[in-house]
Amino acid sequence: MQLSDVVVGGIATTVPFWPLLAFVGLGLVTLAHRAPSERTVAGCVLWSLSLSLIGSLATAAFMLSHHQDVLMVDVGPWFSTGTYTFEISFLVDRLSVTMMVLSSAISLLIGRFSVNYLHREPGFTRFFLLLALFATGMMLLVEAGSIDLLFVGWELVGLTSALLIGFFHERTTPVRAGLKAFTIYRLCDIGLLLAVVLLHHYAGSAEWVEALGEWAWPGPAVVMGVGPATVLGLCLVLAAMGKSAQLPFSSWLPRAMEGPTPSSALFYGALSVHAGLYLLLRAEPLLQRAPLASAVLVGVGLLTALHATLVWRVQTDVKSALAYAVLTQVGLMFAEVGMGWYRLALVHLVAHACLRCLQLLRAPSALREVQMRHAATQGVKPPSVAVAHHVMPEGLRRRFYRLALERFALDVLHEQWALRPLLRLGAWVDKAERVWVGVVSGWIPRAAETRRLESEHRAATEPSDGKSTGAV
Amino acid sequence: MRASVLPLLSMMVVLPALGAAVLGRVVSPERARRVAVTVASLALVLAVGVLALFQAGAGAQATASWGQVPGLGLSLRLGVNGMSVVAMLLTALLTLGLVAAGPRQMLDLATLRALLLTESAALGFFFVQDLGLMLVFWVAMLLPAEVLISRRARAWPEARALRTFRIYLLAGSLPLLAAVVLLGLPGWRSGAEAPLGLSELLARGIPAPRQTAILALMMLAVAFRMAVVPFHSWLPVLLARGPFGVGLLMVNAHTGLYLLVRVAMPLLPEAWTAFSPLIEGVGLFCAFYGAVLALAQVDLRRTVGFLLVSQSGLMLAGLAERNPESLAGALLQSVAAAVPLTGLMLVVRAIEVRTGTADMTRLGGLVRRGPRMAALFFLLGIASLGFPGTLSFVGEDLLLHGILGTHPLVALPLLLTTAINGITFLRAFQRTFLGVPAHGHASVLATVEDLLPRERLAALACCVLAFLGGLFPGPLMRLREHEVSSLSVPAAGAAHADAGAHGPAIAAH
Repeated sequence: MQLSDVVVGGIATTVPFWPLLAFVGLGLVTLAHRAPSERTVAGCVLWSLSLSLIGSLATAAFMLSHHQDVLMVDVGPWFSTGTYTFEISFLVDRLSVTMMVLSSAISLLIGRFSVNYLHREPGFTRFFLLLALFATGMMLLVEAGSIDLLFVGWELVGLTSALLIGFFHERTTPVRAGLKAFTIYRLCDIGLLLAVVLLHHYAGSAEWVEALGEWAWPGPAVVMGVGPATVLGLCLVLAAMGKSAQLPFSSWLPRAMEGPTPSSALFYGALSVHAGLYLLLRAEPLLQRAPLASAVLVGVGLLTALHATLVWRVQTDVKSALAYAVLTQVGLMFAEVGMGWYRLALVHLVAHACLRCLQLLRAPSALREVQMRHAATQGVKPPSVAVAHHVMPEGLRRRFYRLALERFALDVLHEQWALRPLLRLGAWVDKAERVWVGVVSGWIPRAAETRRLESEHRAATEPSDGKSTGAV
Repeated sequence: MRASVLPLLSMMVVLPALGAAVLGRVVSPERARRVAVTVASLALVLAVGVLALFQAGAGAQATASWGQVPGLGLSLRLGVNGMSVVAMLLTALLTLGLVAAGPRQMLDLATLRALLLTESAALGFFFVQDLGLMLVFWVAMLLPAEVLISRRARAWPEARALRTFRIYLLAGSLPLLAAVVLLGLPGWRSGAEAPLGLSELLARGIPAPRQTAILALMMLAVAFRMAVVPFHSWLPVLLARGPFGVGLLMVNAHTGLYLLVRVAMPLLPEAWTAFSPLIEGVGLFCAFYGAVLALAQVDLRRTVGFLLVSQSGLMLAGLAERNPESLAGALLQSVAAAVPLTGLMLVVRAIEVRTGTADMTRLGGLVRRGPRMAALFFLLGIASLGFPGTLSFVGEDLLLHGILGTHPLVALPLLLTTAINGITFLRAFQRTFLGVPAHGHASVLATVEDLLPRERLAALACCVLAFLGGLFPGPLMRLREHEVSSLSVPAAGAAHADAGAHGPAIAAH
């Protein structure tokens, strides 16, 4: 490794570090003393984001000018025992350098936008702290040299996402939407965790270059049996489906629009929603070896796109409509990855992230823009682009319309098939426990106590949201 | 570590007990609290002193011998190894946290005394080198709480539910008594010098046929103490209705885990290997059961209780698996879950004192009045549930690799457990701190005060420990490296003779 490699490696290492520094510093001051002024908070976070953008750009410039395709940076072991070591290492190649520049640029832009947008909002400091933490997580995710480190970034992104959805915490719906997103993240993370351990198991290493081969991205298929590759691929697909809100986990995305607009743009327009896609692109040598996983990707992606494009048409508010528009495109990208068109998917990703971010940022003034357009065109109707409606038979059209209005009842299905049985089981066992304790100790709760307990149980088993339609 | 000038270990055991005795003479509650905090801090200082003198390695260090109990042949010898150093620090730290930051109205004189006595007994348990004395301290740890509870039960009918405690824990100690008697019999018969000394027992070895019965008895006692399903019912009840802190200290000192690592695993290796699938199954089931029940709770105290049950299961599964990763993970997790969960419970108690309830259906929107309370609750929660950058992430990562590496499908309950625990916590956080105050309780919730400086300090200290430990887990892992390498299976084949000759518990004279 040459000296310049070491320098660039150092620069690349600092990229996730700056926002983390800002987060820790501001967080400790806020917790121990009091929240600093808006100017200080915004200044610190924006500076850190600028530094990480500069780092990303410098890395990208170096890679371009030196025609270097892969750069591995070993930072050192985090912890180790027996034969297992958690290495902190960064992998900079064409894919991650693209994502680094994209993520740091968009984070900085959104940060700047939010300074005005959230001025005098009570949660100003909180928003910027979470923004810095998210930037750290996202950078770790895209730069990680091993799947272990990617998981760290993945979790950071998931948690900040859930917290920012519930940013306006004095209302109930955003909080609930945050929990919903977090629940789905958490359940789908099982796939990623399984993949982490299985990659160790099958490939003997969690480092991307060691497990998948040190090739310029996109590399050739990995040397591994089809069986293990398929299992691994399916685990990764599950993880990506949760993060990127693919069918059947897509119901959280429109509800996530309850968060403040800049964070919606950052997470669900630009970066977080594409994190699953990044994971798939990163593990592309594995997917090449696993035709079944690729086929699943195509199926899931196309179904999601179809579902989202149907639902998009009947949304009454701009952010929900945009959420489904995001889903349509991300679904198509999933299909592209499944077909093996990795470069196309990456280009699609970058273009989509930029465009959607802009659209979401402009969403609050959408109504005014429409009015202006109306005024400009003086009431001339724009040509209709919805052709499919007229081709479909009447009965089918009505049925689809109904389904789209209901958003395919995904919320209800989740409640009915996952959450409620679990809660009911828990409540039932809990009741048995209380009875058992009563029997053992010889003290049975009095009538008043029992009534209270019953109301507790009712509260615990109540579905968190029975409604399936309506604005988020 | 050379023998130090001061008998540090003996001082550590006696000091809290002395403190408790002094408390009997103090009348003013404020002074009692001050005395207790002083004693607990002194104990912590001593513990840090022992840590500073400690050198990672095999034998017992800082030994101090105080002669023998005639008749039974119990040798009064104290010493520390890697296991007991960590356990001792944890116990001293948690006691100080509970005494210093607990709500004043819950820390009456009797509770303070019980806490100090429990600490003293736990420390004694970690230091003695003789199984008979371990049994004595094992039971002694329960007595302060038992006395306190039975006094309460007379005055307050609701507290009668705490009788489960007596049944579970006192009765749960009987199997250990039987195990100790079985272990000591050959020694007594042959008239050995120390029939129950740990190093002597290790040197003698236990014939394989007898190991099964002894392990079964020991496991039973440990399962009661670690609150492993189906022997867990005392823990949520004790945390919800019991005296402040005692139950928490008892379960978080991890005496059960210590007994397994220190005695059961090195002494009964064949039986442990034979039974490990069963133990692992029980552990994983317990983890999952605890997670599901924690999700279903509406009382924050019970939620924490079931989270503790779930963590116990994880640790047990890690021990049963017996490879270096899972062992290191289980040992790390014992610290990683104990510190933040204690902090979490402190915050929960603070909420309870301020609002009169820990019932989530009657809370909500607390963040408006107590932003720091919310922030610390949140940080402690994620620190206890395997969030990256915290010690429990390291612990769970190691556990996962250890358990999943050998047979992938078995670990599905483990993965579900970690997922559900995360959801449980976020849900509890949101229901308590976010949203609107529960219907009809807004006036109460509007008067809530944020955390007091001492509460904040304690919670912050727990947080800092969890996060610092997560960033730099190396030193903590090195302390118990010897136990991990000597107990793990790959090492056992090569180092079996070695472990038999000078296992983890032998005094380096």
